[in-house]
Amino acid sequence: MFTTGSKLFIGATTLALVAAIAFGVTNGGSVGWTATVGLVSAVLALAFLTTVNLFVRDSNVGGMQPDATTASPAATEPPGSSMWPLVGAFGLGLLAVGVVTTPVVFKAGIVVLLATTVEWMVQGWSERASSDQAFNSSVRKRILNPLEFPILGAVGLTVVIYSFSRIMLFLSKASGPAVFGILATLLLVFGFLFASRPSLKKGVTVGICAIAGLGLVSTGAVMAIDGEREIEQHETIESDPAVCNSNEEAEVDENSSQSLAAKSNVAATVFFENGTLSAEVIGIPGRVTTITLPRSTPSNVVFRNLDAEPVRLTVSLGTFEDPNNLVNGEPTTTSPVVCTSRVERDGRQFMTLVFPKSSPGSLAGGASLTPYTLFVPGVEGASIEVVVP
Amino acid sequence: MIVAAAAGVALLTLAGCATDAPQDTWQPEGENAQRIQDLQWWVFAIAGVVLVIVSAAVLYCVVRFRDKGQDMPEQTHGKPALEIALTVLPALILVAVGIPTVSTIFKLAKTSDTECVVNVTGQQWWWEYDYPVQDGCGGITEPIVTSGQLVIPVDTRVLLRLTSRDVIHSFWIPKLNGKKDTVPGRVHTLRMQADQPGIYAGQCTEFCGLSHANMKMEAVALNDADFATWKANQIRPYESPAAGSLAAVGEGTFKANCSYCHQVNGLTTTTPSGDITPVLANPDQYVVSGAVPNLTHLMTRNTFAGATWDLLTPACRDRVWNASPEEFGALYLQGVTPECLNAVDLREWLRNAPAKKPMYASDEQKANSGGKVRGMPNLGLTEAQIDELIAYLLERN
Repeated sequence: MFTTGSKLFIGATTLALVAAIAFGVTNGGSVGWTATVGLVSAVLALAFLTTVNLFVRDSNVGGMQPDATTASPAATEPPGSSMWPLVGAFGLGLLAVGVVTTPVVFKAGIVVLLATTVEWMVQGWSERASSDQAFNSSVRKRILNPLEFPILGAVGLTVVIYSFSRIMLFLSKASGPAVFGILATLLLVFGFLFASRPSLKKGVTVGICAIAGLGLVSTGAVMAIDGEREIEQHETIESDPAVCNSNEEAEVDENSSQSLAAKSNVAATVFFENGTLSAEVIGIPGRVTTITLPRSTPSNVVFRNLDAEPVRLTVSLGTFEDPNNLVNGEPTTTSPVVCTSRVERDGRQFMTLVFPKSSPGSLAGGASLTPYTLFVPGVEGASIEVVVP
Repeated sequence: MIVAAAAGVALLTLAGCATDAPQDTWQPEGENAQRIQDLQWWVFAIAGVVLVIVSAAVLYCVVRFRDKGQDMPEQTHGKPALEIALTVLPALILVAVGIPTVSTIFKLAKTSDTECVVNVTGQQWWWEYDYPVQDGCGGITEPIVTSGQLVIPVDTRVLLRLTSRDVIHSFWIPKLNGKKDTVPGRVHTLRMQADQPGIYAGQCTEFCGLSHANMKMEAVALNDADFATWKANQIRPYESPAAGSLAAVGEGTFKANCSYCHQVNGLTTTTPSGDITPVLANPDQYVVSGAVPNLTHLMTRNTFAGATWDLLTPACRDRVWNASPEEFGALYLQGVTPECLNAVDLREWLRNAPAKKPMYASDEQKANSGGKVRGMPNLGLTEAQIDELIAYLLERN
């Protein structure tokens, strides 16, 4: 009545059930509870396998059946070799290496083992689905291809994108456009050649693509290991008057630490040239020595030093009384100042200014007691007035 | 069903024929809008012809080759001549459309030949216009700040420098030019020129919050003499109301209730020590976006609350809007007289502004924005205080 395989599964299920009951009764606490849940899960899994096995009757074929020697699994040619034991071993190796190196390798090992388990199980099952190996192969594809294609596609894309990104971050800003310009040209040329030779052998096309892919991935891996190029970060604005007035050297912000979007549209570009300040303002031809900026909204300003000596642009953000802070009955005043770091010749610095109050003269919005000015400390006459209506 | 569809189509078609359409893009009244019009009418014509041809071809194919049980027609791999023609022809059409389009874009973006600069700042839900000191605009010697109505000299290439204090808005006066987004931290430029004196209506065209639909604008074009008068009036020194008048009482009411946010240039107060100091508004302490309209010359404008309502009664408004170009300037410069004041809407606004125009100005909403409001809150004014304020504001001309 019961086949050999079924007896094995029934025994295992019974054993797991007995173990679960015994362990659950004799062990309390969270550890005991967890182990019991694990054993019950094993019971359910084994019971499921038992049912399946009973249903297919171990694929046993009676010796008296006429097709026993022609159509039974035992009579068919065994399937070909499988790569999954090798992949599984590789996954185990990753696990071991990951334990002693980095968690990323360990996680990669887990992923490889999971994939191996699924693939191997489905392959093993499909190879015995019938006596027709072609049919078995189609069964395997029907089950696994919907999983394999999107996952492998995503993985492939990730590898390509990651490789490109590592190469881009490794190359210098100057050589990057040149390298990728050449690469794009090569792609265009090869694409054109492929298209113009429809009779080209598939092997040649696959070979070239494989070499290109391998080259991309290996180059990306090498550059990932070597690390990114040095990307400098620059603080462009200081609000501490002590720092503003110091002579400390600072990097010129040639590499744009600030956002590109803000720099793409500046309210004014301020030039220091021949010891004087002037400004170019969007929409107004020529240079001006007074600029109007809106109140209570950010205004982006770029400072360019065209003189030989390194200088910093300093902004006097007005003078305001604080009626809540009295000294000798008089309100104290505050005079906020911000400045760029020192800008070398032909260098530039970016700053964002917000004027919450109006400038004097307009008598609007709690005006400042003194004008808002852009100036270069230590250079007499190098000053621009900022009008805030 | 067919009658209803035909009626709908007829209604839409007839709606396109309206002549009294203040925001009609097909009725340009300035150089820049005319350029857009000159480009768009024949682009629409080409697109219309293409639409008709394609629709007719599709319809013909659907009817002529519908399934009638006939045999499958002979299959061909392709017709190179037809394919090349169908590729080249659209490309030529696109080139024909693209060249004048790019040319027009560059002409509209030109700023070097403009003769007058106005800074425009969008804010939930009104527009501020400030005129920096410049030789342009016939010469401006002191900064001018106004709101609601953009006043420009006629036949002058005006350059608008647009930005925003809070969210993205879009400035559009269809009869004078296309639309342009205003973005915090960025300055965008827009040319503006009006051929005739008059008022040109516009509307914010980028959804910007609760009262986006109420964020209107008007451009007022004046001839050179009238524009000079307007400029002189905008920098005219403050005149206190006559002592003992209702307006004088209103001045006190204004200081006590409105001057925290609204600036009236020249308004002063006397300190306990007897010093006379200017009354300075601090809107950045009370309003999320940091500014509110300057009311120094409120009654020289025809609108209030983001140009949503008229300060003129309907009859007076019609008289100004429908005035001939020769008469327009004088009528506009009269401003809002006591006889023409639209006291109904102004009273409702002062009584409970958020009830009239949706804004985030209640106590609960303030709690979500650091105790600051968007728009004007309900000040809880009494009817007597409203009378006093209206009397005071009526003299802000």
